[in-house]
Amino acid sequence: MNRSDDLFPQPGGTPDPYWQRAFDDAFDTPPPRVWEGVERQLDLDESDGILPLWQHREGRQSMLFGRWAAGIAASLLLTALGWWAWHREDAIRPDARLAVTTAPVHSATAESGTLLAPVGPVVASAEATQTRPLHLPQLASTHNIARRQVRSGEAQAAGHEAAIGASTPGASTPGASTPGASTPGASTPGASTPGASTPGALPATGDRLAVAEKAGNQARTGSVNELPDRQSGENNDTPHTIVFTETTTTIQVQQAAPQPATLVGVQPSGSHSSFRMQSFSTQSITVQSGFGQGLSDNMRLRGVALVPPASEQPMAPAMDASADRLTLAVNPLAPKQLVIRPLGNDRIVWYRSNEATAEPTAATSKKRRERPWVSAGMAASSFNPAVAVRSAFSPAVNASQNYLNDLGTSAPMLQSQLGRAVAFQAGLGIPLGEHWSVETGLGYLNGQNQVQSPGRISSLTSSAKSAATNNLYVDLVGRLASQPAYATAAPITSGVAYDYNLANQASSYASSAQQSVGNSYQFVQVPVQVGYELRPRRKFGLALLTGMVSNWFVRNTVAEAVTIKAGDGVYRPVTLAGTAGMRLRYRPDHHWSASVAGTFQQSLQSLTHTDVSLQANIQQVGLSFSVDRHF
Amino acid sequence: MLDERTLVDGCRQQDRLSQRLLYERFAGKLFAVCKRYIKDPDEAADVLQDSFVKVFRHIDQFRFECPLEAWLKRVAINTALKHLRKNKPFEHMTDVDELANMLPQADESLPSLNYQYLLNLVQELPTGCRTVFNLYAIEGYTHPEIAALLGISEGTSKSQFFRARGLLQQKLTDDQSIRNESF
Repeated sequence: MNRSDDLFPQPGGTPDPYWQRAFDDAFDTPPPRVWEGVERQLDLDESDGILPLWQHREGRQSMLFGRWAAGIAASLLLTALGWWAWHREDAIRPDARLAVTTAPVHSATAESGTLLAPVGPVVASAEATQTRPLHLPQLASTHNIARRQVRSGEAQAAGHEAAIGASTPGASTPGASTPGASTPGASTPGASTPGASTPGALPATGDRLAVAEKAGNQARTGSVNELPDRQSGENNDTPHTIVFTETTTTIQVQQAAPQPATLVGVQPSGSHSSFRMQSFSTQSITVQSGFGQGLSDNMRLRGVALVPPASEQPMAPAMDASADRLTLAVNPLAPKQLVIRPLGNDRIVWYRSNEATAEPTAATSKKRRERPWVSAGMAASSFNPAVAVRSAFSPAVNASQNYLNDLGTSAPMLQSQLGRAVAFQAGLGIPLGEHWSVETGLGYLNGQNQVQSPGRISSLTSSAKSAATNNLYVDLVGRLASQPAYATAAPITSGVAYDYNLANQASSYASSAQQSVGNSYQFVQVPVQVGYELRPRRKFGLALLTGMVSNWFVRNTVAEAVTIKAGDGVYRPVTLAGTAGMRLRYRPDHHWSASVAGTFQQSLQSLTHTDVSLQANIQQVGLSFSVDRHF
Repeated sequence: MLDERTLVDGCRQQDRLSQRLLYERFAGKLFAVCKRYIKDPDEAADVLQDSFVKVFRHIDQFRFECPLEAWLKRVAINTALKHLRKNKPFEHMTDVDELANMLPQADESLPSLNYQYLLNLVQELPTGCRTVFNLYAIEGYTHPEIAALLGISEGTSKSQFFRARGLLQQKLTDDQSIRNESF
């Protein structure tokens, strides 16, 4: 008996000849959707490989090779894309993502209640901070002001004008006004601030709008990016948001007589840029660039609503009261949730009969028995140990910080930069049921990153100026680890490693002498995870993983000169980290499978001992690829 | 018309045209089989779809040791049984061995009845009875084989078949009476 007979056994008896004859040649035309469904499933089946464009016709061996090759290529491509997305300079990071909306704010200089009365040149500052949202679109929605066209070079038009430039409210300074913003009184006192008037200081391309802001004596420039809005121009009640990425921004709002509102942007090259706002039925704004080389033509800006031109539509009193002063506010954007969709397209079940429910014993006995597996693979991830000076040691640290402040800098003492890590892993998975499993393993991780550290002042004039070890970070780590290479550094009190009053030491540190110090961490990792796997297709599995990872510290090589080991008293021998991820597994046969997983790992405790003045909490986001052998 | 061996060879090469031709040739017959087991036509179509997907996936296992049509029908029957098991229709089936000894003889009047009428008769049977009747009377499986296929006892299979035959004969008798009265 061949294998097909095992799957589909032949009958061993004799059918009823009458009934068999009655149904023997029975024919019933199936609906057309049946073949379509068959084709669809065949297209998704193994004959087409992983990638749709990858056809396998030469035989099973080459098909297998093709699948693996395609899988590896896809993994590398995903890794490269993730790496690029993380490192590109204009990427919007969580810590830099801000929602900027604008809202009318009653100004002391506004003549509320008088729509068409000349208000005169009113200069209002738009204070852009990283924590305050501003709801300017409410202005537009209330007064049916939705769409305004902003054009450059029209700031001279008489009437209502609102200009964004560099100015303090009511503190206009003639002579310092932005070119083109020729409204009397329109001024840009912040123009002298570096960054606000420096040509080319505000890079802006595409949909990015560079603006400048002057509030008090602080000037900042930045860029405003339009966020995607599916309801743009349709829902006037929904405030539009743009992303404001601060560099150094100065925003000036000017208002004059009831004329077409004008938004004046401070251009990077010193040339004048202004935007004329016109009313439309939606809240989107078309911006025609006046930023010279900085802004592209016909770029669109949504969500900014300024004073409508008096000639186009009447203005409500509230509108008038709020038009003369506009305030920008910045809100942290809530991160979008990752939408997980099931793979493929399952057939829709249209009907389910109301039959009695009980599982037959045969069906129970034929349930697929899950088996354990072992895996081997590697992972590439970002690596950020977030090294910082522990706040608990504020006396010494504050002293040094004050010293640094005295030197004219407010930069943090240590800046840990994002690095990269590579891990090699061997794992073991034990199924607990149809969906659940417990996984553990052993891995080796090598993570590298850079720490920006203030250098020793004493080294500025010495021959050791260029040495990467003459800085605060290396001194702290090296001395804590009792490295002989740092005998020349400032002395410390024996047994109190952090007693390192930098302000009182001869070797003080200055951020003006920043040095980049490389770290190379090595860990042995032992993860313990619980997984819940779904099998949307027979050969595909999608698993959600979460658990803990114990990171066994091996060593850290600092500046390629100092090696700190677990026994040196700086780093904890073992630290715990929480991990979560999602794994896609492709299983071409019963014994082998390949997995691609995205993982996130966050250290739950500092990598260093509590009595050490440094702290480090490792965070990793990466992608892993593994080959699994199922027993 | 391509012979079966050519069609099967083409399907083994995953040639879509051969698969389509095989489908066109046997889909009608297999759909009739599916409708004998699955009362709902939409569900029967789903089972037919799954059957052909299974056929094309396992076509390498067919070695011409039996007619292709018979093999295809077995695949369809197996798929239909698997579908039925999801709804667990065999739980409350009666297990009375005494009934199995009262199996009636075959009805010789069947050939005069058309397919659609007989199909309606079979489809009106309860799921458990219908399944056992199909497997025993039409496919030719023995009661031990049916018991293994459905995960029931042999006595249950016999009793379900007895019940099915009784229901069918009762229905045939009633319909015959109606026809006689109408004439």
